[in-house]
Amino acid sequence: MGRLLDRYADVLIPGRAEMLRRLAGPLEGLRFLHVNSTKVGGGVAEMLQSLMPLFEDLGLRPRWEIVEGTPAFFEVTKAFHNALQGMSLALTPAIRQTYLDVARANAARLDLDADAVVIHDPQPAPLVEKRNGAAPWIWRCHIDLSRPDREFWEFLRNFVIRYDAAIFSLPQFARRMPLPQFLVWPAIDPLSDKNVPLPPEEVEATLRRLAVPTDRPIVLQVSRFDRFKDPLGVIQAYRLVRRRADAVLVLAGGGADDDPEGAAVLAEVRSAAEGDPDIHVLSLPPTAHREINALQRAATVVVQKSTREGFGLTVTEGMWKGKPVVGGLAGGIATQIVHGLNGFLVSSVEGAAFRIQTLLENPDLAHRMGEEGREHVRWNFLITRSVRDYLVLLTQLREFRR
Amino acid sequence: MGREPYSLLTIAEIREILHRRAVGEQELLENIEEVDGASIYYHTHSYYLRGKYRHDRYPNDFATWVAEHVRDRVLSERLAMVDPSAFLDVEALRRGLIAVLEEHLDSLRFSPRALFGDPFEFVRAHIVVLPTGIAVGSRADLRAALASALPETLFYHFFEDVFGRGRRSGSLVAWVAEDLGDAPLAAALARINPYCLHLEQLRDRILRAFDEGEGKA
Repeated sequence: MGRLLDRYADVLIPGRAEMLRRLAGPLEGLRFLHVNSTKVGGGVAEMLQSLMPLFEDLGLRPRWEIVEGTPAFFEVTKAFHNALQGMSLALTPAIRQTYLDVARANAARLDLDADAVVIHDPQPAPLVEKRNGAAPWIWRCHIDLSRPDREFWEFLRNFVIRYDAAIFSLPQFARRMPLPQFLVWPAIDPLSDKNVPLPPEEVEATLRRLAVPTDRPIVLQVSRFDRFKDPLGVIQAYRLVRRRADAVLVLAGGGADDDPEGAAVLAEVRSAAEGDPDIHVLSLPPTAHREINALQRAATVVVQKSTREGFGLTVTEGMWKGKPVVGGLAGGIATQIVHGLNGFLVSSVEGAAFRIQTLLENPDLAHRMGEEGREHVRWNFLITRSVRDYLVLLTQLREFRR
Repeated sequence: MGREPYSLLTIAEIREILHRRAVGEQELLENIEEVDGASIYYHTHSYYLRGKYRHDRYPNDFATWVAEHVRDRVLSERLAMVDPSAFLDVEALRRGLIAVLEEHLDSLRFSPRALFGDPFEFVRAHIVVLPTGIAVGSRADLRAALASALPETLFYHFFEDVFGRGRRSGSLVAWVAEDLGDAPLAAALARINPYCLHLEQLRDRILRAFDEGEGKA
């Protein structure tokens, strides 16, 4: 027990690994089931890939199951995902039936026997119908529920209120419901391909392969090609910066292959960048973790100029590599950036340009902010903090039941 | 040597969302009047557990929100100066915060709002107290243990075990005075106001109290 955790000890605040062992001690052997909709791709799967081995290392007996569905089911749940974020949805009887049929088939197929169960997001939410025994069931919602489609939310709420507790990433993402709701910030795994230290030769080789020059400062935004990430605003800000400072801009992301809107945004971004050899638009596959890692390590300033955002973990990824971050005042970005300490919060193209320029012209300030950012992540946004939150929650739920 | 070894403890917390929101100063006041005391405690103490912030950050969430989202500098400065150590318990602290807010709102005769900012979200923490496995029996052992203790351990002994339990000094100071029989060190530790420091500065101040009193016990 604890060998994997030892590998994290070098990057954690001294003593934190021991705290986890002490928290986990009374939970030894606890059968801890997580269910979501995919084992690969997306932030939830990434986080579970890191969490499961750590729970096992701490003596729990974690198990990770996924719901299986038809293409029609995943079309429906994608529409549900959008509806939870405010897009209107015509919740027809056929749509309800597709969702419930697949959910109930999974409930019949899956072994849901455990001492504690965490169900992630809406896809598997109806599994709660099959709960029995005293094990606590927790709904972990990774989505912003502050402005959902009303009709769909009423439908989903009927399942959610059967859980013992819910977890949200930010208070403003939650909704009033008759069950306790807990706050767990997302976190990054410092040992994953996206965050592990890379040798300088690999960073250089990666940038060479991606045709990104390394002879000038790099301003980098990593994000899906999505309007809410405001990639066109980043190009406008960069052009204002270029009047005074020499730098290249890299916009790296994915999501354009299977998303028609993503493809449209990527086309607009390419069009806006056309003819400017200093703007590099990189459409990367979802598995390009080491490439993203290398770009973040090579960057001088990391930007996340979102106008609407979930938690925005790319901010934490940049900070962990010791970079100052200029972020839009949206979603979880303000939780990660302490304005003036480890980066700057901005609300306009001009604001982004001003702060990027300030950081390019003040390498000492950029360095100091980068150091502060890494420390801020070490305290608050590493995966081991997520482990701690789950262990404390399990301890508390046991107490509530005594 | 002390008669009984002293066991260092530490804490871990999970935060609960309370669905109480304020978009203006009047609502902030009303929520502070009504919210669970654990939320007042959280919003006046969580700052210390989040990292090594600089001195230009306000040490409580109410002051920070008023400064950054309502942009009322006068009230944020007044709230920042509400020192929990001046109050005996969280209910007294609540009354202190209410007094500052009421006086400010009375003087303004209107309630500034976070027109361009986010609402204030009330949260409370459920705290689990854990053994560290470290027990000390001498002044030297205690100094060494505190020098390498987790930030959360310092938080437990200088915040949670003191103000969190409605007392002026915690069990650590009592043990130093009674079991270790080192009244000057106990007095020096009791004099430290942890609310003016982040946890690493607190650690430095604690160690200085040991070192300055070396040989005087």
